[in-house]
Amino acid sequence: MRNFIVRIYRYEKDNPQKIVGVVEEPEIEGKRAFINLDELWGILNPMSRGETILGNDDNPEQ
Amino acid sequence: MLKAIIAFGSKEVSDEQLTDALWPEADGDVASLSFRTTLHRLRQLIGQEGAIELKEGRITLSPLYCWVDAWAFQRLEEKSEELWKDYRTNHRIKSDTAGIPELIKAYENAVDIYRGEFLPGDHKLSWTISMRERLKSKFIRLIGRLASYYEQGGQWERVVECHERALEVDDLQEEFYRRLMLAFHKIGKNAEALATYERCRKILSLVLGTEPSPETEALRNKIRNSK
Repeated sequence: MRNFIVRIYRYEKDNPQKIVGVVEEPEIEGKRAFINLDELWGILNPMSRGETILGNDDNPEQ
Repeated sequence: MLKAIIAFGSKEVSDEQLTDALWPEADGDVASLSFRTTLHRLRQLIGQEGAIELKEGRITLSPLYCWVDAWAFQRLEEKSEELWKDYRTNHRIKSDTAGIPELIKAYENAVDIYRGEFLPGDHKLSWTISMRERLKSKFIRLIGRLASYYEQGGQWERVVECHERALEVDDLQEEFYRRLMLAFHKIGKNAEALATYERCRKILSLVLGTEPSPETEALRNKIRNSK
C-alpha cells in the first residue's frame, strides 16, 4: 500500500478545480506539486497520466 | 518498539498493531516471538518492569515511569484549546481582554515544547506519519493563534519569532510570509519585509510553480511605496 500526504495551500471556494498544493510520499524523497484537481488526481493515480517530479526544470506541468 | 508504541498513542496499543508495523513480513508465530523478545529487551533497557504494561494483548507506556515530549506537547495543546474555547464562549466582547494573558501563556508553553518533527529520522516508516502530521498540524495552528494575539498586542518582534518558527516547520504557508512581512514593516524593517517577500516568491515558484497571491503582492507594494 502506498502512503501519500496531500498538503493543500490554496483553494478557491467558487472553483473547486483550482487547488494548489503538494503531494509527499514518505517512502520516497521529494514532493510533487499540483495546481488543480486533475493534476492531483494524476499524481495519486500515476497510471492515469505521466508522472512529473516537482522542483525539476523539466516538469512540463509547472 | 518504543517508537512504535509512542507513535500509536502509547495507551493500550494492540500487540497485533505493533507486530504488523514492526515485522510486517513475519508470520504469526515468528511475529509473536519477535514481539515478546523485543518487549523483554526493551523492559531490560529501560530498567523498570512497570514502565511498559502488557495487559490482555495491549501495551501501555506508563506515565508513572515515562515522560514523552510528544505527550507533554499534546497535553499543553489540549489545555490551550480548552482555554481558547472558554475564552471564545465567555468573552465575546472584543474589548474584554480578561483571560488573554493566561491563554497566551498556555500557547507559549505548548509551542516552546515542540522541538521539530516527530521522529525526524524515520520518515520512511509509514506508521510514524499519522503522529508526525498530527503534531505538526497542531503546532502550526497554535503558533498561528499565538502570533495573532501578539499582533493584537502590537508585540511585533514576537510576531516575527512566531512566523520564522512556523516557516521552519512549513515553508509553503504563504500567510505566514505575509504576516512576517507585516511584522517587519511595523518595526520599521522594510528591507527585511521585502526580503521575506522574495523568499516567499522563490519558494512558491520553485516548489508549487505559482506566484504569490494578489494579497501578498498588494502588501509588498504597500511596503515598497512606504519607503
